[in-house]
Amino acid sequence: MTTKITLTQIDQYPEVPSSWGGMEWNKTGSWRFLMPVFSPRPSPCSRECPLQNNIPEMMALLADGDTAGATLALALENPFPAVLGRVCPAFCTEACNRDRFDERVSIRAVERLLGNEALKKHPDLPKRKATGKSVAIVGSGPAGLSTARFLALLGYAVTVFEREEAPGGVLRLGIPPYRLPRDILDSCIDAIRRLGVDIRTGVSIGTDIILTDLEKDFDAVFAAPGAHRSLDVDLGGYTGIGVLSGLSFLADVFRGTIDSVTGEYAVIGGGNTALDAARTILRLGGSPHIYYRRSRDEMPAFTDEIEEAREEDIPISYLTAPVGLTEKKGRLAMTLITMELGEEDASGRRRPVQISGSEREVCVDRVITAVGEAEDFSFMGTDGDKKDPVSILDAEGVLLGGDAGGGRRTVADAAAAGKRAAIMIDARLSGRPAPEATERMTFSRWLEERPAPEGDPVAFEDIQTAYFKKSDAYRLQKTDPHMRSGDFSEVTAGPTERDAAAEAARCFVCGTCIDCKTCERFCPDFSLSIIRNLKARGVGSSVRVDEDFCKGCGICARECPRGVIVMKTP
Amino acid sequence: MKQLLEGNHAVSMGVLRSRVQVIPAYPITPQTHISELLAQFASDGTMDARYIKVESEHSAMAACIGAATAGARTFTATSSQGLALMHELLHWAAGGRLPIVMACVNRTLGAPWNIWNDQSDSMSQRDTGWLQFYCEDNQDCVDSVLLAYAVAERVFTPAMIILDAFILSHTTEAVDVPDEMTADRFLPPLNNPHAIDLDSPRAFSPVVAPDHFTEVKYRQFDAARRALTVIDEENRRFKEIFGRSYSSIETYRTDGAETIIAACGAVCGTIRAAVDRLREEKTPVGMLKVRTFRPFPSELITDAVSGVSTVFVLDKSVIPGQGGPLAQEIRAALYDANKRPRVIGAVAGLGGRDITVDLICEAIRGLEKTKDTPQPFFLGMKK
Ligand code: SF4
Ligand code: SF4
Repeated sequence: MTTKITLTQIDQYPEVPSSWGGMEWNKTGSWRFLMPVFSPRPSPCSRECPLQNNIPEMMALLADGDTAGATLALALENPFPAVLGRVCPAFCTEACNRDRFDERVSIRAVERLLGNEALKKHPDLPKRKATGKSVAIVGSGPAGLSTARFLALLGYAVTVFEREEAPGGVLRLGIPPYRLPRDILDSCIDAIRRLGVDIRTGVSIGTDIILTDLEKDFDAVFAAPGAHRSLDVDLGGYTGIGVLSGLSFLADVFRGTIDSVTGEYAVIGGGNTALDAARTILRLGGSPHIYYRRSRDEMPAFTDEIEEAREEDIPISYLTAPVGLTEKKGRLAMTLITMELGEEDASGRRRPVQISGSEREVCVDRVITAVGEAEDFSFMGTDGDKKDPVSILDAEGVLLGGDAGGGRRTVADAAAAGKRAAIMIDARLSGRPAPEATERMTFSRWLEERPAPEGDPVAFEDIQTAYFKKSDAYRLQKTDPHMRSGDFSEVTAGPTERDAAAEAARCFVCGTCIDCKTCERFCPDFSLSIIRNLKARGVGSSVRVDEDFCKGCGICARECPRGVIVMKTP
Repeated sequence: MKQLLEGNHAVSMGVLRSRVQVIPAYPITPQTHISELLAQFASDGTMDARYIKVESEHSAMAACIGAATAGARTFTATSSQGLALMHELLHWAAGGRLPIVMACVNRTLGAPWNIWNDQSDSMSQRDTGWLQFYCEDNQDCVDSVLLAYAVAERVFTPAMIILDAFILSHTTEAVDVPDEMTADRFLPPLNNPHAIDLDSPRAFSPVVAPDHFTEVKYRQFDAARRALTVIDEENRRFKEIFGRSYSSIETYRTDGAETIIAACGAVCGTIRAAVDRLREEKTPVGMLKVRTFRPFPSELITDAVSGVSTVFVLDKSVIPGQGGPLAQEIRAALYDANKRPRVIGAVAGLGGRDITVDLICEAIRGLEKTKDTPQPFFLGMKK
């Protein structure tokens, strides 16, 4: 409030220069040539997460003791955090800004704890009322389950068709229980069923039901058939027995058809399937040996897996490839050749080239091939054998996703493809304009019809690190390699709630305002006011700038610990 | 009871007896002993004061400004480059009308590098609006702190007490430190009516637009001018209580003098001895000590030198392109006098060079010869 004081004589002036009159008359805003703009932005971790998980919000809430709120924030975008908290390579953490400060935040460990919480407490997810429309989903792998889950939340009647006897796809038949315990997987699937999703197992689309019937009976169809066909390895033309694909070997083990093995196994390949096969063989009583034609640096398997296989003393021969196989006295004689790395190929990796004269022979009992997988279009019946099944599906309006849909093949990418498919189907069935292909649409934004936040993700340079203390990252506890390789028990132990909250407290909360009031306190012209978000502990608050007085000094932008205020030319 | 104290510690004792509450300080030679002893007093409970370690003199003065605005009796000490670094905030403290007292232990200003004594640091801050009192001996150092607060807190203007490096700061003399009760009687606790009052919120040193700025500055100017009267009053009160007196100027053996040697600071002690010797030689000289340099006691000086033919001004600093600052001020003061003595400006004692009794006597004996040399002339400089 301004008091008008009139001074006409020298003795009316105060002895010391001070004013009871306030400074409102001095509209310092006229000095401004830059304007602070409140700019909540994506964090690099969320941006790199295929699911766009709201990591800053979940971290802020958990650090503040609101475990339930954090769980809800995560579960809103992530259909099965208990699964992804275990098997995801954590693209988020790779991008974490804390890397240049001390150590990246162990986001996946926090996700794992919150995933377990979600299974225990069932967060109260927002659910639209029934639309009266139905969607059929082919395949109950991560993409199919994710689509089903989000569509159920959007009010659709969802039926999932699975040709196996148990749902889960690659989660059940590809990923070993020591990485993903089956009770966790079962609970995740139960949680999706609880939303009203009907999962019909033992039904093979293309055989038991034809695709066109589904198209007739349902308002929309989503296909996530996966990539189950192993690529062949040329073993010098060998066609005899003793050679198995890694995928079918693992599926047989996890279906229960194989429960023990003996003898020496050569595993060919360097991806997760090769590593999983080798570690499974070890646990069933066999002796695996991995042969990979490139070097460790090119190995496509997750770093954790390679590390754990090494701890379990599984031998890996790099720059080694099989060139021949013959039967020899009831065993297999495999000819190996040494490779060297030549020019880069189309994938950007250096092409392995054989070094002639380096051939040698090893004797093994079985060979497991795991050099890559191809999509499985058998659900399309005879159409699946045609040259371009994808365009046939396109023409029929069937959405395709997951490992068969192209792109990077990880569970997180599949789950993200499922979420996107759910949004696309909802757009189509509700008549809402579908998001652009490039737009990183999140479920909550789609539900609340909010536009995407603008701007590049917050960079390390935008963080005011003076407000943070250095600390060590949380590290998962691992069981003893020699104890764990005797059975399928989980290799790592997750964090306690306290560990997770402490790790969450390390998060800078990049790009999200949490009503810390730093900007408000520092503004020399008292020009900022924070509008606290009442939803949850101030996370997602916003800041208003008083244009009459903000002189554009930029102190707020400089001081905001998490890069939420950006100076712009007006 | 007298104590043997170096000049720096005499200042610290004055601060102790003034019951200062906040001391933000940054060490610099030759001042450091002052703040070291105060830090010790504050930490061992001898003083009920907050000692603030800062990262520069600029911050030291900034902290003084904050503390004084809040109403605390505030002190700091510095020298040379440290004082120069404070420059901006010296203006701010004076403009904000904050009764801060600071000891400046005179050390020259670089470049080139030199840690010894002359008065170029304090003289270069003479226009910041601070009161300036130059001390002659260590007793003066203790007493000046108390007097400075007494004046500063009446005219709401900061005050600098100035003592020559090493000559006073590191030299031990017998000093009578006032006892607590007597000191309290002279200097009661500060109750600044213009300090922050939570019940009456104000903006301090806010933006003042052209329509008010002149009036605000005039009040500051007027307060500094009034300070001369206040100094006189407080000095008289001081004399009643302690028996010692520190008037703005002091004369020595000026009766019948034809030449008066004028100077500031500890060199006045040397000049007294030179005057004695010259008087023995029947040379009619006397001395004028300018204790208060700001506000400048023009009238007192004009009166004191009226009737003499020459004022020989000994400056311990030089303004390149001008001359000695004391000579400059005295000349300006005399311009309006009826009888204007000749003013000869000499510069000596730069960067710690000794000014001896011989040097002064020789200068006075050869005064007639120097009449036509360009001024200032540099006393004792190599040919
Ligand atoms: S500090 Fe937190 S919000 Fe920022 S990138 Fe790392 S995990 Fe994400
Ligand atoms: S400083 Fe704190 S309150 Fe201000 S915008 Fe940044 S996070 Fe929000």
